[in-house]
Amino acid sequence: MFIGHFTDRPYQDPNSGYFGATGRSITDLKLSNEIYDSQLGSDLYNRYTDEKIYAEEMGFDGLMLNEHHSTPFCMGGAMNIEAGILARVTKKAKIVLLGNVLPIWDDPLWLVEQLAIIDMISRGRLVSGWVRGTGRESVAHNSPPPYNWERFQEAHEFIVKAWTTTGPFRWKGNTFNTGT
Amino acid sequence: MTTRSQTWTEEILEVAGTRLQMVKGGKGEPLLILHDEMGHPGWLQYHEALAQHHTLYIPSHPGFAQSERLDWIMTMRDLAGWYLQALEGLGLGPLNVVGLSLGGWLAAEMAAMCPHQFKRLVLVGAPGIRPPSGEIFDMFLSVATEYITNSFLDPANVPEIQQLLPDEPTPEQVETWEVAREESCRLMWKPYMYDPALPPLLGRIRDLPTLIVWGREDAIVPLSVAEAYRQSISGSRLAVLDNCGHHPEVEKSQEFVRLVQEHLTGS
Repeated sequence: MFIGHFTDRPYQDPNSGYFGATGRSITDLKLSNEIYDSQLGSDLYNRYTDEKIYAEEMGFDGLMLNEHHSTPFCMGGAMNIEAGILARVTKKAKIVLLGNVLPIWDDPLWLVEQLAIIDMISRGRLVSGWVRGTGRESVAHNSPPPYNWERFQEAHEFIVKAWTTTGPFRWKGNTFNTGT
Repeated sequence: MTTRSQTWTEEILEVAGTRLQMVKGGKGEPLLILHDEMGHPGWLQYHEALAQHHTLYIPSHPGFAQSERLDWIMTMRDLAGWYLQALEGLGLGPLNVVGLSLGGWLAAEMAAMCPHQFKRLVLVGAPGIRPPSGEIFDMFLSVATEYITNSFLDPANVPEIQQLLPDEPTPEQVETWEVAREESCRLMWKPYMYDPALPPLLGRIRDLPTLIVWGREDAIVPLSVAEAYRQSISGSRLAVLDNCGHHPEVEKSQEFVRLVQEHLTGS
């Protein structure tokens, strides 16, 4: 049995309009930084990190993070940063990412590097999951939706190759190009 | 009761490596009509009027309607290159062309690549150039019906609105729109509806009589783009229609047809 801990880490502020208090738009992608309370934002990021640390203390096997963009229901727009912190401050639990949104990465090599750092610092506790993302992810990061699946497949193949084969190697694909 | 007989035909043609849906109608010299980002909307009044003096060829671009997509076509320039092959395959020598919105950008690309393919060129509300001022409406952040509504200055007073935007679109209509939007998305997502290389390449068009038609209140592609086309295409003429949105061919149908006829006959 493997039991993990997960929350979406929402931006929850009764005064922001998130719960309809002010009537301002809280629509995904059209959310304005105007309604963001940075003090509250700091408190929430720290609270969610503390919760993960506490979850490990309570015996959870995995600490899971997810990623969304331009939406109030999930503040994890750069999940790998949160994972990097957990890598250093936790000791035993797996750090489960579900996951990095492959189609929005124009340079998957950069993602390979970030995840490798998390895995090194955590001493091999990274469990790396992959997702295609919802429409908001593609729109927020200007990644063409019709090529979502193609980009996902190529990035995945590239990352697995980078982690499992002896390099350096050339990669000249339809979407990504690296190596000389 | 009188029923006006249908004046056009529709067929699927095998051409340049794909299956192309082609609507054809009218009599006279061939006139190619390149449809916009939502696809061919069906035979409208302006088609009927132009068909009195021209044989209209209205293909659905690959990936639109029943025309088969070609995966290698990923940009407007790819599509333009394909179309030049297709026109050759169809035996359509130098001919007149009217390009509407996306179709206008397409026509401009083709004319820049191969000016002698055309006799006379008409560009209508065409994206393709980064607006010197204003922005191109984001069609992918709105649903099809909202986009079409925004395409007209005054949708309530468009006589053919029930054909273009029915109160209750059929599932087939909705699917046709979504197929069109998907292909438009493939072609024009990034940069959004323009190519920085187009204006300099348009310099190749010198002896091709070109008419640019725009609605002054176009809320999709701002009027500044019309002026940019005029400056980029040597000898071109710009006609701006007042009280008109993104579809002069529909919203100002009679005036549009008159302008096009005059341009095509050189009068």
